[in-house]
Amino acid sequence: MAKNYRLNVGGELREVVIEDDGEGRFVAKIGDAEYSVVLESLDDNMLFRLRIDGRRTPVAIKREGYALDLFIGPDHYGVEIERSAAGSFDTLAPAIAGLLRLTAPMTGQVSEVLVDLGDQVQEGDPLLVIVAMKMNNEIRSPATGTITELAVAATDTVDQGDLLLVLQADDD
Amino acid sequence: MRAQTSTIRTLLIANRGEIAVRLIRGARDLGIRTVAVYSEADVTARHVRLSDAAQLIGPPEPAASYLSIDAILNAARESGADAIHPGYGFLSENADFARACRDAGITFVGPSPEAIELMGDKIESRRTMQKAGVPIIPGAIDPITDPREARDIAEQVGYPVVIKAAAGGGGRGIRTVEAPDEFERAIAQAQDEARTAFASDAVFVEKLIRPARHIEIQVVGDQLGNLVALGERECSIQRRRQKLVEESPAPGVSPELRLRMEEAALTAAAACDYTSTGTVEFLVWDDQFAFLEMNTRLQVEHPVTELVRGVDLVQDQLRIAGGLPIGYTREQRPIRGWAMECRITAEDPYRDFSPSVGPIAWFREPGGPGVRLDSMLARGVGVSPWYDSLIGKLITWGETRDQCIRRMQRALGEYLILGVSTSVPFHQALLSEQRFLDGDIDTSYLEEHQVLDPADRPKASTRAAIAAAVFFHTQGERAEAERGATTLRNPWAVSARGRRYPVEQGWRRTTG
Repeated sequence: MAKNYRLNVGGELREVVIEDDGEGRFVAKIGDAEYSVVLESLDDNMLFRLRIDGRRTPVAIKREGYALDLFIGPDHYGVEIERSAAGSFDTLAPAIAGLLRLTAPMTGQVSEVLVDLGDQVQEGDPLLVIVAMKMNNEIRSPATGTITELAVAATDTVDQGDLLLVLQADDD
Repeated sequence: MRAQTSTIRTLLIANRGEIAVRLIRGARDLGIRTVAVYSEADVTARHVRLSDAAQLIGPPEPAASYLSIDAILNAARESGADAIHPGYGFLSENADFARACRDAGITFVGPSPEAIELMGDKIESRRTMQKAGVPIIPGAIDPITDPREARDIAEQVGYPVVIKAAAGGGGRGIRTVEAPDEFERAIAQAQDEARTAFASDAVFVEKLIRPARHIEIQVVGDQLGNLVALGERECSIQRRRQKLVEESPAPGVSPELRLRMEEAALTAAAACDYTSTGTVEFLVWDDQFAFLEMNTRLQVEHPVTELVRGVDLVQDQLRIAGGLPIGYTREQRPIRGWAMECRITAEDPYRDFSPSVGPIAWFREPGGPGVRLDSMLARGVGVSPWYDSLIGKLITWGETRDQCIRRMQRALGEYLILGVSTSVPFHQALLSEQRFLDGDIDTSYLEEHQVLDPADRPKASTRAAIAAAVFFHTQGERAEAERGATTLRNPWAVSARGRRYPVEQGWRRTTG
């Protein structure tokens, strides 16, 4: 079954249709061009081997909600996936719906938790503040939804990647 | 007969990162046992794995670990170390630490506490240099408190001038003054910054010379009174007073100017009875030069001197600290070829060099003829937000500057680091600029134009779009399959409040 992904890659909009054979092989279509693709995890974490039409290259991917940090060769791209807020990309929903685990983007100390368990939050709402390198970093909600779990409290020290909270994103 | 190697038996390395790795290698070449120290943020660090023994000294905060004199001396006692090498940064130019080592009966690999103290005070060191006959930058000899005094000096030497902290370093506590009415504010700001950074608000004023080059002379002294100068390093490629590229020899420096600078550097070293490797920094314009400061430690960019002079400065330090003579003269270590160093930092050169921290998924290191890499990277090692952003130093050597630069370009092209942004694209762009290739360099080089424009950042590529789409797709499929949260699977985890939480690979939680 084909799914349509609209992505902001390094500031440019790209639309990619992915066909999945269910066995780890994909066909990616961009415009009229078709590519045969395999993406294998090499460390069960952030390192992958990307194969496009037989050409292999190592890729590192760090995900944070709807955004990716993507490293290919010497290049580092910021990627964001367009959300189905407008209802026009329903096929995308499974990729982003459900429980979102928000992790700490940096090591630091939680100075304030601005939400409670069960709170309804809007996308962009401030959730908590992490002090790192003497700067207050406000962590905002990547989606609209409900807080279903709070893993940290004020004064907790967190490492980058530690779970902060879990958000049940609303179905659009 | 083999030369005596060293009298040190066990060396504690009071540092981390690439320099700790470099020091372990230098010690091992002399048959010295090495003890690494590490903070809780460096459990998986390369220097910890490479040393003969390792001691945990505290939490990630530098003040409680790598900067803690007590923690480091305790580690030395526990591990039976008879010497400590401080590396650069951290405690390397802390006279109290050198003194504490001496009091504890442990050899401090570096100069005397008195030399560190004298050169750490910019006002005292200027005064000493002037007395010894080393040219200094025109300006105040005494600390400035009254804007009127500063204005008088500026009238004498001419505007613009700079206000500098006596205890300064790293570009902090420095303010430029272009006109008389700016003094009041500039002095207050410099004092404020100096008080916060160095706990001393003494400032002085000197003429701002521009355009100028930043060129430094490597010196080596031993405890028998021998002093050797090993030529210069060109360090003008700086961003906010942080060096990014260094080379030796310096383009355009004549043998006559080199000799005059070497003689001045030797005079400076003799004035403080210098007994280790040290660096005398000069400001150079036309065929004139003036003393800036002396760094009483091993310099970050020491490898370029090692490659063109055929010396090992770390071994020299270890032998000298053990009471042995330098063992060579300047004439026995002539310049051979050209060397250059690029500092590879975990910073995003497209975003104003903002720090880029986190785990590193994969890396490929360059090598081959004329390439040396001093690096902290190892499997499972990440870039910590607690410390300096230097990942490593890429150093190349060639018969000529041209060959040296070609090798650097090749090596930069081979160097891949996946997981953080690095300064590699900046260095590639710099090394393709005609002005740099011509050796037309001064300290304003990076202020005058942008080597990398944010607009040069790589735009969408087909590869990137495909990788991202397939990644989101598989993430979505997995989420559906597991009906759970959409995080990556991760073999590392911590337990807190009765649940397991994933942690980025190679990172450890420090508190509950």
